[in-house]
Amino acid sequence: MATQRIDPLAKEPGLADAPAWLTALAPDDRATLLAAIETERARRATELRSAIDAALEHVPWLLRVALRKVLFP
Amino acid sequence: MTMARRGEVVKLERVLGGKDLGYLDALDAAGLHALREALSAILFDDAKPVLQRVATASKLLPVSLVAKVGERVFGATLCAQVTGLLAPSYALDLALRMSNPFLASVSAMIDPRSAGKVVAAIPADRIIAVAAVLIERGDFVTMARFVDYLSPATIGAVIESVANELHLLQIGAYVESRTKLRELIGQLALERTRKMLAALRGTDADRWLEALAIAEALDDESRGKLGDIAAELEPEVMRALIAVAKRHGVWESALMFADAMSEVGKRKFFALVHEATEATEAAEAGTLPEAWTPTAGSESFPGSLCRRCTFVRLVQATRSEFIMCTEPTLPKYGPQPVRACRRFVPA
Repeated sequence: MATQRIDPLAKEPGLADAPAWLTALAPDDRATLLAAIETERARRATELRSAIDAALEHVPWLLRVALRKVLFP
Repeated sequence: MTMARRGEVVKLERVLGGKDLGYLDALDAAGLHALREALSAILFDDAKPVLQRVATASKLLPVSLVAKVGERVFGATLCAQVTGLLAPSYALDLALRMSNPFLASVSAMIDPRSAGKVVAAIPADRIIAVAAVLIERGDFVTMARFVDYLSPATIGAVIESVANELHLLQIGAYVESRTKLRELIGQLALERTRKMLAALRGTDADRWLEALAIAEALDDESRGKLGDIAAELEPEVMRALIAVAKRHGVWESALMFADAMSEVGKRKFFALVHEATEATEAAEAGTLPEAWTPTAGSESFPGSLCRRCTFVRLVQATRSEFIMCTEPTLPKYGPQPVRACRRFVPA
């Protein structure tokens, strides 16, 4: 029985509708694109958290506590 | 790779963290543009809740401290992401407290649509200073992205401040809006246009390809003006263009450029093409037009034998028609009108 290969990009909500331009990509290239999105997503999340932690070091202790409550409720 | 695709690759590499995008070779410029728009939205939406809280928290601190922390700790990427979530007047206040090199880095990462109001409100002298940093870095793509959001007066001031005409050419090649590109070329003084075209003579093929990409994006009138200015310059300029057209197979672009010229300009161009052809081996005659025959009107050389031949292909340019021969042993564009031909086969 033939198995249908699931488009890996279907897992990505913003690209799930598979716009016409995506059909130009081979399945392997789509998988590479999905991996690149995941890598960039993780990199940005880490960068954002590190930057916030570093920024908080620059403000007085009391204000830091208040800011942490705003930033990480 | 077309200039439009090259610009999209540079912009997409920034969105995806500078990785090699060889796996996207199947996508053209429009596909890459659509992908970049989708990815920017996806990645921004992921971080938006936290970025929104950062924007809110920034209001609890003195603006001078936020500017300092933004530049020294947050960095250009995050500042670029937060900018669109701040009130434009507050974002402007912050931007004006930051250094020009940092603003240049933020500009490279920001989505101009989310910061259009902020950019438009930055005084021209700061824009010029940031533009100077971007030029020093060779980041013409970023400069081109902001052309849409700057007033004609500011664009004019930036043009004045850019000393090297070839840098203006490189910016123009990446401008997305054709209307803005026409405005940009329209603002260029005649003397500077001349200098820009003359400077092309001594450059590599990339600059010529950029010039042809700009010419393609212009309307007939603007393209014709550029072409006529080029035709008035020393013949070496046109010779360089013809050499690039031959080497890179961009005859269609060169033809479009020539087609918009005045009759005088066209004759000069075609004479140089003919000269270039004569200098080549007969074997190459099939890849380079042997002789161009500029014509006016849709029915050129009605008496030519070619018009009744099975090997003829009529190539329509905007204002001219070119008679092309598809018989493999004959030159593609022979002198017209043809009265006798040993390979003639009635259609």
